[in-house]
Parts: sequence; C-alpha cells; structure tokens
Amino acid sequence: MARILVIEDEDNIATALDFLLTREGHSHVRMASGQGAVQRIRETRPDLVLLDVMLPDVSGYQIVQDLRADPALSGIRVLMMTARGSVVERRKGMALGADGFIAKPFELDELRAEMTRILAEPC
Amino acid sequence: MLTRLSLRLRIFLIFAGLAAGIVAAIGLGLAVAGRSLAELDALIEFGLDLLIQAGMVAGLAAVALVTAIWYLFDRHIARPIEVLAGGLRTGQAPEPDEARYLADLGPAVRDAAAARARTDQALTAALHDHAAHLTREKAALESILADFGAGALMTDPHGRVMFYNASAARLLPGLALDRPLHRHIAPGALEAAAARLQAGAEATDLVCLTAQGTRLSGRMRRLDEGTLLILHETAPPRPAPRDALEALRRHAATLVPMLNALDGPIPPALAAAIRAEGQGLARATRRLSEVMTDAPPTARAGLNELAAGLDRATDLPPLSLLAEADAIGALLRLLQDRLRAMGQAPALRVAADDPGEAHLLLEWDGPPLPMDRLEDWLRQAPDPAQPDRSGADILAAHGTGIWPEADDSRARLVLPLRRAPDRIGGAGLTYDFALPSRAAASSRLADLTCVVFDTETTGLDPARDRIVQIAGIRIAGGRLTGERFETLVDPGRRIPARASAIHGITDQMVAGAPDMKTALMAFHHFAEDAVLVCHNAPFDMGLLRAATPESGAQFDNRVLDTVLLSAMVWGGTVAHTLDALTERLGIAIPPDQRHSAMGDAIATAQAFLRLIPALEAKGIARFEDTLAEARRHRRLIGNANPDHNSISGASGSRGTEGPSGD
Repeated sequence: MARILVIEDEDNIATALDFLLTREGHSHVRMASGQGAVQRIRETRPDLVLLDVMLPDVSGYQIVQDLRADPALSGIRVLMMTARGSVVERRKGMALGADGFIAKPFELDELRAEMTRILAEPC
Repeated sequence: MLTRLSLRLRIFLIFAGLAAGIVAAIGLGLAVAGRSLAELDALIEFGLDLLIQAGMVAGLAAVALVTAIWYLFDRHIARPIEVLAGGLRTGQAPEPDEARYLADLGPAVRDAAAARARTDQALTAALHDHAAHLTREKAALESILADFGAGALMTDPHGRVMFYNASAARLLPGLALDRPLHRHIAPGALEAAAARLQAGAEATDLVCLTAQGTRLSGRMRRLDEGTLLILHETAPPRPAPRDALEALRRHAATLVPMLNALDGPIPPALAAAIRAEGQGLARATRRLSEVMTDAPPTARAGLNELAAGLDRATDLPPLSLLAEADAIGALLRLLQDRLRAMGQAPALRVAADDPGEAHLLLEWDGPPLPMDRLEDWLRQAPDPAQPDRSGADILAAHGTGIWPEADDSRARLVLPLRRAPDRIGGAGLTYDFALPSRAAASSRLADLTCVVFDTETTGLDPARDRIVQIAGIRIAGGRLTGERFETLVDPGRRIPARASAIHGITDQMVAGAPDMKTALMAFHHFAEDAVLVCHNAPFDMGLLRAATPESGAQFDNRVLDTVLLSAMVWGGTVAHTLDALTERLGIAIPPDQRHSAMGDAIATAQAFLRLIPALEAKGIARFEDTLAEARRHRRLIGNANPDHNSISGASGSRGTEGPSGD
C-alpha cells in the first residue's frame, strides 16, 4: 500500500482514479489544481505523485521541474498523465524528470503496471 | 620545286648563279681571246700566264661584286620581306627600322599589325565578356535547378539520363548518368506519358511510382533531343480515418444504452460488456490520434539558416534539417530575445550524435527557465509573417517540442529536429549533355561509362578473404560525373590486425555496417551497365565474383584493369603498382586517403583518364583494342574479363602491396 497524491483537475477522471486506487488498496489524496502542490508534497512526502500535465493554473511540467530543482524533493516519484499522447510530450516529461508517463485514456492494467514499476524503484 | 625553298635561299641561289655565269663568261672570253692570239702567234709575245692572270682578277672581282650586291639585297630586301610576311601572319608589328628600303611596305605592315591587334583585343574582350556572362548564367541556373525543390532530370532520345539535380537523386535512389530512367520508375507511367508527347502534346502531367514504391507526380516536356521531367514527392491522399471513426461510433453506441443500466445492481455480464466497450473506445481513440498526427515537415533548412539573426551562433556544423527555416528561425530569435530580456546571453549549439535527429541547444550560464514561462512564450506568434501561428503550433507542425534542462551552473533549452537525408552529389547538379551525340554502342575508351572502384579487405586471397569497404566513382564521356558510392561492409568475421594496420578499418568500425549481400547489391545497382575499372582487376573482380553465391550480385560487366593499361603504355619493364603509376602520371594521393577505398578509387580514376590519350596515341582507342593488346601482355598481366576474348588464368598476386589488392 502506497500513499499517493493525485493532482488532477478533471472531476470525472479524479473519481475514476479514486475508485481504482481505493480498490488497489492505496491511500490517496486529490488536489484539483497545481497551486500549492509543491508545498503540499514537501509537507506530506507522498510515495507517488500522479500528476496531470494540463492543469488550469500551474502546468504539470512546471511542478515536476520545481520538484527536481529542489534537492529535498528531487527523489519524489512522479507519474505524469496527459491527454496529449504524442511521443514528444513523453520525451519532454521524461527530460524534465518524470519517472513515468502515461497517455489518457489509459487502461487499469497499464496504470497498475506503471505504478508498480515506479514504486519498486529506489527513491 | 624551288618554291619550297625560302625566299632568301632562292635569292642567294640567283646571285650565286649570276656570279657563276659572269665567271664562266670571263673564262669563255679569255678562251676565245687565247685561241685568236695563238693563231696570230701573238700568244708567245703576250704570254699565256698574263692572260690567265687577267682572267682570274676579272673573275674574282666579278664574284666579289656580285657577293656584295647579294649581301645588300639579302639584308635590305629579302630578309625584311620574310620578317614582314611573318609579321602579317602573326600580327606582330615589325621593328621601325626594319624594311626601311622597302618604301611604304614596312609602315603598311605595321599599320596592318596594329589594326589586327586592336581587332584581336576587342574580340578577346568580347569573348571574355560573353564567357563570363555564360558562366554567371550557368551558375544562376545551376543554383536554381539545384535548390528549386522538385527533382529535375533530362533524358536523351533513348531514355538515358543525361542531367539530374540533387532532388531527383534523392527521389530516385541510385540515379546515374547514362542509365535508362525506366529502371527507377515502375513500368507504365513513363511509357504512357511519352506516348502522349508523341501524340503531339508539348508537355504532359504524370503520376508514377519509384522502384522503391514512393509516389511521385510531375510533368514531362518534350525537348529537341529527349525529354525534361520535373518530379516531386506527393503524399498519397490521406484516407479519412473512417475505420477509427466507425469504431468510436460503434463503441459509443453500445455503451450509451448500457450506462442507463448503471442505476441498479450491475449483472457481471453487463459489467464485462461495459469494460470491453470502454477498452475498445480507448483503442479507437489512440488509433485516431496516431492517424491524425501531423505529417513531418518536408521543408529543409541548413542549420546556418535557422541560426540567422542569433547573436551567438558560431562553429555550427554543416547540417541539414527537416524544418521550415522562417518559422523555426523566428521561434529561435523570439526565445533569444526573451532570454536576453531576462539578462541571459544564450548561445546556439547543436548536438548531432544521432543520425536521425539533431538537438538544437540554446545555452546560457544561469538558472534554468521555468516551464510555465516557456509555455507562455510559446503561446506567442514568433513569425510576423504568420501572425496566427503560435510557437506551440510551429513545434507541433514539426512533430517536436522544446523543454528546459540544466546541469551545474549551465542551463539550456532543448529543441530536437529531424535531420534531412544527405544530399547526393554535393553542389547538386550532374549532367553530360554530350550523351546524345555519342553512339550508345560506342566502345571508344573516351566514350565509355565506367565505374572506377576499389576494395579494402581482410587479406590478399580473393577466394578466401572478404571485403570490408568498397567505393566507386562514375566516369561518363571521359570525365568524372561526381556520382559516388562508398560503404563499409561487415565481413562477418574478425579483421586481422595486419589488415587493419594497412587500411585502418577495425572490427568496431564495421559493426552495424551493411552485410555483404546488402553492400554488394547496392554496388551492383550503382555499377549496372558501366564498365568496371580497377587497379589489379583479378583481385577485386575475384572478390566480387567469389561473393556472388552469397550476395546474389552477378558482376558480368566489362572490365578494364589499369595495371594492364599501364603495361600497354610503358611495357613490362617498369612497375605498375598504383603508387608507381600515379607518380608517373603526376597524380598526388593525399597520404591519409591512400589505402582507403575511395582515395584509391579516385587515384585510379584520375590515372585511367590520363591513360586514355596515351593509349589512343598508341592506336588503342577502343575497348576491343585493349582486349587484343592484352594478348601481347598475357604473361605479365591477367585480364579480368571472364568471357570470350579474355586472357585467362591470371594471378592477382603481382604488384600487390597489401589487403587492398594494389
């Protein structure tokens, strides 16, 4: 069981993730915007951040860049999610320091496999 | 007959005859006088001696007088006439005191020479101007044809290629002068277009497929001698993504009524159906987004074009990228300007380790750029000529993105761009407009289309050793066409150290190189229809032929061996190694090029071109002449032509220096 922070502005996807993560036995908290996300991560130090790229205020890319720039937070594991599924978006996310990248719509198996892989990596 | 003697000699002979005649006349007079005196018995009184003395004095005086007159005549008339005649012929004005005894003739010749000099000068200047004008026009036309994007090529009345530009070479891989165009185009389209021209059309549109399956469209135009073809690549019309849309509609149509059942408890069969339909929906959406992805740009730009207007962009490698020069250039300038406004001094650098992609790096000393700020900048339109196109739109059209990176105190923006395939033929134009005037079947050495090639190998035994590098260059109409072929070959075995020591090619270098079959099929295509020329042909041809069962490439080309040609010119007493031959012909091989396949092929080609006139001077002007002559050198030289007329049983061992066979 892992502690997961979900940063996702779309309520329906957040609801689905809530259902899936609960069923998988993870404890999780959701933030509906990127504002204050870095501060929240600093305080709670989740095992994994499920981070949407397209957020209304701060972009997911900005959040992962801020995390990697902060030595205290650079080890936080981040799995990015985007509706823009192009190869270059993935390269951009990985270059900025994400640990994984999945394109929406994703299937449960895909999300589960990616989360398991990332959580198995040492911080 | 006398007219063949020079004027001065003839005048000399006239005066000599005159002198001889006078002496003879004096002698005759004295003889008559002597006889009369003898009849009068006066001879005893006057004395015979006295008479002879008088005769000799008179004779000598006459000869001296005639000689003096001849000398003056020669000096002042005969010689000046010759000088004036030479001056008239060559246009050189005679010296002012020359021909002063020939009245107005001297000044007249000087005037004529001056007039001619003026005419010559004017003519030379006009010719020079005209030549310069033609050179400028040629350069302008070459640059237009080289860069106007479409492939341009001309064929002679037999359909042989006599001109093509770099774009045509890119569209039709393996395109070469003097080769039938129809080899490169799937049958049908060319013939149909030619038939329309024959039916009276000046020009006609056509769509065709290349031998590689690329779809081209263009226009064929009739010329006085042959046809002009303008071709460009056309993407096949993209079909509407009907399948993906249909799948979306089907899954949505099935899901909607099922979702109405979610109010109550869900039977397992319904849950499974919903899951399956949801997964189908996801798959169809992915397929749709793959289909709808922007096609990569076809525009090409040099790295230096993209860097124009950037303050710090130096030492950029010559790199060609698939990019719109104006849009990407404007985006880079916008990024530079925004960074400068932040107090940074970005410099453009490029990382081009990947053959398919280059990373443009805008670097500065300072903190990395926040992603949010970069995305703000990308929402702006960098190119004033395209005010509705944001930086993000431009990147999407190029199938790329841009992101910040940082290490230590240095930060950068990374922009990956696809590299454009290398252009073939450098400057971009390859032509031989004399092609139609040469008979297709001509076997004159100077008319042959040849591929001069060389190999580097694992050793010296053509039956057992293997090729590690092969390079060839084409010759048409007695000159290098600029068409080249060069590849490393993975020999499928280790390269002995003693071989690597000579050609410098190591196991690491050939790892990942084309295998024997791929490399030799490509070379076979390059050399098709051409006469193969190499130095020590039994060795190189032996390698190619030994590899035939494996490569499938049957090299039944005619072959010329420069070792043999050298022997025909200089005989068997001198060395015929490539070094000795090139030294005799004054050809310098750069030391770092010697024992590279391309370096040796170029040296062999230059030697071959210089051997042709020397062979012609010896009456060996045709390919058949070389075969006949080769018989005389049978013990010295082998002949690599395998069929009839050949000298067989050759050994490839003489004159070799290392595992390049020469």
